[in-house]
Amino acid sequence: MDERFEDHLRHPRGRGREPDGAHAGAAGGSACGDLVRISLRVEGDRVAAAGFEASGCGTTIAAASAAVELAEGAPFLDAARIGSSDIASELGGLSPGKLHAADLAADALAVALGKAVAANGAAPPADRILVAMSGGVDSAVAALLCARSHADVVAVTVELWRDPHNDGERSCCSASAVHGARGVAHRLGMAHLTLDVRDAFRAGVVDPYLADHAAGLTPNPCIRCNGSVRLDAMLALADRVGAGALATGHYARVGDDGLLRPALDEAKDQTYMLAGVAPATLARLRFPLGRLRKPAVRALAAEAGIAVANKPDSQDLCFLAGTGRAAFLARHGGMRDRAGAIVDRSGRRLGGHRGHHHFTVGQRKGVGVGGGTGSRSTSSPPTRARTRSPSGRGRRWPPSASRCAGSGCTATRTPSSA
Amino acid sequence: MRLRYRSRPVACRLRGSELELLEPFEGVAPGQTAVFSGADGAVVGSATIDRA
Repeated sequence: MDERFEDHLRHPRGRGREPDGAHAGAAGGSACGDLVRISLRVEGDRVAAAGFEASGCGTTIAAASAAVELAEGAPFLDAARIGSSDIASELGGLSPGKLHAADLAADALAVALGKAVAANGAAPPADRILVAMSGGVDSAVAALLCARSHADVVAVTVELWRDPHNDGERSCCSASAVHGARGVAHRLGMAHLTLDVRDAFRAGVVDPYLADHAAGLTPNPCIRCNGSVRLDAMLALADRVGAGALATGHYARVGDDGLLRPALDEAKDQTYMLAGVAPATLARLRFPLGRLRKPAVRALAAEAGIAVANKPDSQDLCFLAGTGRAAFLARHGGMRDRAGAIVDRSGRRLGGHRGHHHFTVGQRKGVGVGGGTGSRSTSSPPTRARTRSPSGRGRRWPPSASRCAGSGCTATRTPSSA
Repeated sequence: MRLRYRSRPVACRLRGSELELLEPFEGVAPGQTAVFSGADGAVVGSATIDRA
């Protein structure tokens, strides 16, 4: 046994201590039975105090102790660079079978640090940029390009949703995605913070999504999320870490006039999803991928040895990840099947359905009434609700459309499209 | 103007809060976001469809 390991085991640093005003993060506790809970308080730009609780094998206790010793008193941006390998080194090295304990301690430290910095961090302003990393290839390359163009880059991953029914490998905000993003950031030499915005995401995105589906509407939760939840939360964190701008892996550009413009890669353009972003927010965003095509992005990732270079693009809404929409609506919105008829505009029955929440307007696939081009509707139409546009806030807007921006639009189809 | 993430842009005319599509578009639905772009592609505004 290395003497450093033995020292941490015999004299664990901060065990049983929870500093006043601390924020805590925990990891483990499931299959392995090991559990680490680290609590720490940030004052200004430093970790002022830290402590931990741990249960499990001796290596888990020693790893948590090492994490506390490395973090306490350090600038929080240095603490945000502490990973499993640093913790293992502090213990004089760990065998592959015991590295899991260092992973747990690093995970717990990252969660605690993210909460504490978001609440109390105050790093002096610097020529620093915050880059959003989701665990996918696009944001990893955005981080890579930031690292090449900026001396001082801090990475952040937002945790938006946690659902045991989701496929963690297909979700851009799962625990495994956060873990992967942190690994890439640390490999690039960046501090990495995890930002827990699950409550705001639930209230600002998922609950309206459920309500809109119940009302028979066709919501776009990504526009709502970008417009009022995650980008604003990350910019608030940018202020905490002294960063003036936030870079993301979106495929979009911003013109000299401050307006959002399509990406070079038209097939990947994401300006539609960013349309709800307020001008003041947009002014602080940077899109390093806006002038790149997707194959070039993957090539950059591969050249840099980034593990997710060939990770498939996510197709689902992040909170659906691997589950169906109907199952999600049933599980979280209580929307159960309620059979009805599918009819054409004249009322002629074309078939049956299990409930209107299985479909959206304009959907053809899966309707199950065969071909034809006529319009169909269900016999149990939901109540129509008037909605407000969240994306018209302060946007430069043609005067003729100003009323539309704030009050929702009525779309009138031309006769040929009906 | 686009009505879905992956849809083609369609020409439209705005009159007050009423949006008239100048070419056919299948499946306009309440709740969808209409994103308006200028001739150079710049995004100039957006709104939520209330009735269709």
